[in-house]
Amino acid sequence: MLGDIASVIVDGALISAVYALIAIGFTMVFGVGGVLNLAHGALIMAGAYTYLSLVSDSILASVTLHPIVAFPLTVVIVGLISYGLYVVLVRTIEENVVITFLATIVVAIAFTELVTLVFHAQPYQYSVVPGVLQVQALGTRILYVELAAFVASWGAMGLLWYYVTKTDSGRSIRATSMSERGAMLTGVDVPGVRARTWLVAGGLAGIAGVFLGGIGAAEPTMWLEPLALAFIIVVVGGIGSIKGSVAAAYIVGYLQTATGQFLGQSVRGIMSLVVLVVVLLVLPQGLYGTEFVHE
Amino acid sequence: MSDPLLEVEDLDVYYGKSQALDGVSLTVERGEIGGIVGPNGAGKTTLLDAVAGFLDYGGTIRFNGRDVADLNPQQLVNDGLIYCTEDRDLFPFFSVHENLLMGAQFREDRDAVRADLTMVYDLFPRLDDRRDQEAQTMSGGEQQMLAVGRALMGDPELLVLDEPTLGLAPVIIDDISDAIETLNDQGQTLLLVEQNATFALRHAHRLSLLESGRVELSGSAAEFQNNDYITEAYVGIH
Repeated sequence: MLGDIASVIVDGALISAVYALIAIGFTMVFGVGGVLNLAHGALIMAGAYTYLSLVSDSILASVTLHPIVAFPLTVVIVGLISYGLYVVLVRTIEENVVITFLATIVVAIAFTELVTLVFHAQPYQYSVVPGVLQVQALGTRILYVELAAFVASWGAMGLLWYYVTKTDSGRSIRATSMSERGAMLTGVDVPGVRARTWLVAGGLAGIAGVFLGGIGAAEPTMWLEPLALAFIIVVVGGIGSIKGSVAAAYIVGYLQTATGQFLGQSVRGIMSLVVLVVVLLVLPQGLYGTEFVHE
Repeated sequence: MSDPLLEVEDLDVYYGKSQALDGVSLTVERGEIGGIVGPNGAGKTTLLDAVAGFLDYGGTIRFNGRDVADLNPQQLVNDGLIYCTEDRDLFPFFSVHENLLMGAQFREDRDAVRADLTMVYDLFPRLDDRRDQEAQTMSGGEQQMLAVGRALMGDPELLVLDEPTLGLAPVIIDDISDAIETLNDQGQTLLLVEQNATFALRHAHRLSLLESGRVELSGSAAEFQNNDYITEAYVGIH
């Protein structure tokens, strides 16, 4: 029992960090442009498959990179895919919220089909950081890849925090999500802010994708659960709030881990949905929902 | 004789089929305080929105010799046309300090930005006391000071103020008054738009009266003060 609790505490802390990364990107894109990007999950998958292609010789025989090189390269590539998605598609239709919403669903489905076509439907296991850490004192064990995911996620969140609080470029992103007109009156390049936000959100999704694929496996449906969770986290945390996303990611992450451990893996997802419903009824603006003021 | 910073010629603005501005012309000279007075709904804010690049219009608007029709709001801010709106449009969850930093976010010369921060905090000591307070938690008067302060951080050539006294207590209006005079003494050009004609007459060198989308009267402050219609309809008996 003690071991179970310890394992919930540790696993929850580790996986929640990755969820936070996904939710932050999702909520930032919504905050600055009002776009509900359902293709955000596809970017997670792009992270897993890009990394897989770069490190494994079974996909692209000529390319086998060391993880140290492949990981940052993957993050950059997924960031650029996200940026491209905004610049090529979303920017031309973003004034129409419904069309944009539908277009991002189409992109997500098309991407799933593409992945199925190229990589086939079977799951690919790959290793990011091999090995297991036995924690004798707590009677639990931690995969090194989970530890790496935790460190990378918090590292990325730390950098993001520095960017959005200490630099003009990053502060402009938060400013635009609070008041677009205020941003225009202070000379912010609003289209540029939106494009930058997609780039950052894509990079974060790329990091999450590499680790989610490494902990589980890369497969064409791997984006569904993380996207659903991101959605729940963002609503619980308060739409548009970065702080709320991190807090809610930990609530949802722990709830999921604890439910899986004590009630069985088959009901893991249910508890998060219950929380979602409760939050919608009791606190519809979410934990930090007031941070988001849309005109 | 003139070196106008802002020239508006024969300006027409339509919202759909209804005409909000009809043949409006006015100028603001470098170094002066230009004033626009008029009742609610006369088109004052529409005029400013057009000047700041937010609206399509007919006619001509030139700022610093450049045609505003060719520029977007962002470029106009970069060129020094800083618009402080009636709604203030502050960043509600940013601190006073962050709001001020946002006002200068596009500027390269960081030393000048630091000097301007000191200048703004000197001009409005209340802001200095509240550097870390969130904008949304401040009183209307403090928010107005912050809005003017944020605009000043953009190093304006022309500072446009829309209804800076609206809903403010007399004490606070005095603070805003002092700030306007201090800035103008330092060479700041301003365009002051007010329903509160008494306030506008106290500061502006030249004024225009806007009613139902037209300029009904324009002239110097002295001419406005001696005009019976203005004193009766807008200033009241003092």
